[in-house]
Amino acid sequence: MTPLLAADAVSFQVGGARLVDGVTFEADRGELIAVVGPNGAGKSTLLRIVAGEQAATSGSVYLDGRPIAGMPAIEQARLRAVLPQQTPTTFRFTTEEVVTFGRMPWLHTPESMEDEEAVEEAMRLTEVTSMASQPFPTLSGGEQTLASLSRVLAQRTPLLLLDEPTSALDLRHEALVMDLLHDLAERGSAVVAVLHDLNLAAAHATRVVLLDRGRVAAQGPPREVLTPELVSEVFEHPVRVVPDPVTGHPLVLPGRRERARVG
Amino acid sequence: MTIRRQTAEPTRDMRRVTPRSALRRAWQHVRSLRPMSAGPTFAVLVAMLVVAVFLNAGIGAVRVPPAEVASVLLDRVGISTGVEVDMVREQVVWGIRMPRIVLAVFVGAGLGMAGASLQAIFRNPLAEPGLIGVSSGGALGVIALIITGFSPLGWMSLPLAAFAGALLLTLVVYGLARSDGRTQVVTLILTGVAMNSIAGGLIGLASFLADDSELRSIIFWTLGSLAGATWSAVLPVALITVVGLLLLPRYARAMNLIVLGEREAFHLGVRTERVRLLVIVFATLVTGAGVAVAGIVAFVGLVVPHLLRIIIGPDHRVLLPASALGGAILLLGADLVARTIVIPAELPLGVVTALIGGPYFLFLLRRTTREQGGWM
Repeated sequence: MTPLLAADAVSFQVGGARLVDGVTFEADRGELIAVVGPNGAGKSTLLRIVAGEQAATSGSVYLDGRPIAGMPAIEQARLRAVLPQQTPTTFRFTTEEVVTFGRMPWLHTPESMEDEEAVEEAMRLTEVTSMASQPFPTLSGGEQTLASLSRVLAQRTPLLLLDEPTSALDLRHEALVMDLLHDLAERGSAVVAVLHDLNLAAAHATRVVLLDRGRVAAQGPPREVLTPELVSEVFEHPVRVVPDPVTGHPLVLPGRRERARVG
Repeated sequence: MTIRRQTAEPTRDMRRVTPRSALRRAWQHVRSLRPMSAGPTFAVLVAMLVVAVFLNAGIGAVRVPPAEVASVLLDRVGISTGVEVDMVREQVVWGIRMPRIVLAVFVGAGLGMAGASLQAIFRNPLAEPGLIGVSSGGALGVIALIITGFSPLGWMSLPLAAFAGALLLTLVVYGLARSDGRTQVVTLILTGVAMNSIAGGLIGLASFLADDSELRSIIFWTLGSLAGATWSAVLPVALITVVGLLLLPRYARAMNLIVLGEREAFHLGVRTERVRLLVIVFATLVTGAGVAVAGIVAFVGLVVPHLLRIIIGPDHRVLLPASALGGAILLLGADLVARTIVIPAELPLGVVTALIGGPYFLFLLRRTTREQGGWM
């Protein structure tokens, strides 16, 4: 069976800079893939390319076995949903309206029968039901993320692409969202999430793609990718990796860098 | 402050009514209504439109009571009311005022809906037909015709020149702002500003070169007026506008998603560039046709969608038709003022809409920046 998402030697160049350089990876049903790497490693650019927003300079992206170059927006929208880092609207749509927008790709299809149920379920899972009638721009950053994630869930696509879904969230909601993504993958979705927090990646991802200046430095199960040597080198900062005393997942602990003393 | 005002005794409150406090209270009332459901809003708008039509048909040098206006209108569709109307009054209502009313309705509806649509696809509250060159392009087309005296198609020449000028300038703005298959909204608005200033310069140059009668025509176009309305001039405008008014709402759902975010709209299956181009063309269609007969009418496309968004929220499936109704009502009101305030002379319509629209817009701006959150 063809993987749901496949990137084949994808590169992206702007001016002289290669933001993404020959990246190959796959995401299939049942997987939760964490894309990690330092600032400027090309994580968000890679996500934009596989989301079809930005054409790759070279290489190809396949969605359900078909190249996305030239694939109509509506067909992409029925296969994958995208959570951007922020949704910048100032127009006062209510939270419920925003979530309902997730059903737009299914307009005039038999699936639109599920509209109400999908919206209700998505809002319940992300715990935004109580904010249903609040204007979206008046929500806090974290609440906006949850509402947007709710919209993404309402779209009910087999593939989810998420750009830093937890960065604005508090402890409890971070856990809520990661458990939710975990469940989605277990029930047969493919989830690709750009994550800043290596420990979240270690605890939840089935596979980790570690990017370094646009290239894949390593990919594989968290235990194999998140080693002290690789992480220290890519992030240019010493780290220790110890097993979590309870779960056994790797825990990445930043060490202290040798600094030139002042004076 | 606010709390005390609400709990103050009515009598004391009544004594202290100033224009300022009355405005504030009206405003709080409007805010408390939002979001109002679509049904009542449309009922109110339609009722206001009917009242405005009767006022415009009845008020002027010759006064015609509402019953006689109704009689004249119903007579036209074959319903006899039994109310006697003398010939002169009937001629005033049907021959002079109704074409002007119909023109105001369609020009206003076009400006209102075009404004709401352009604000959506540019995700910017500053967008209005004038900003991306529709109005000045249309005026430029007409003025080119006036100066050269070139008129190959008879009476159709002017509307066509206006429409062609509007579309041409808008597409130039759009084309210049586009790079790499995308349009940056800020670039687009700045390009619009630059092109408008070039068009303004050309209009100024034309006025400088024009003789006296041409100058009067140019002033007429740049200030806007519905005085040229006759049935034969109004009907083509009405037809063209209706086409645009029917086409634009087809993109209401796409506009909602674009307003949420351009990336989001694409993620949800909207072909954003295509929608943007089509909406620009249709918005030009509805406003270009109006400019052809009425000249540049300022501020309607900007103010009406804002006000309605505050009342009914940003869903374009409701906002677009509501803005059309609101634009028609505002233009009827403005034309009534333009026609009657300095009898027997007449103010240019664009002057009235700018003088109503400008301060009103400032009022909205101050009010909503003082309150928290966005206002769209």
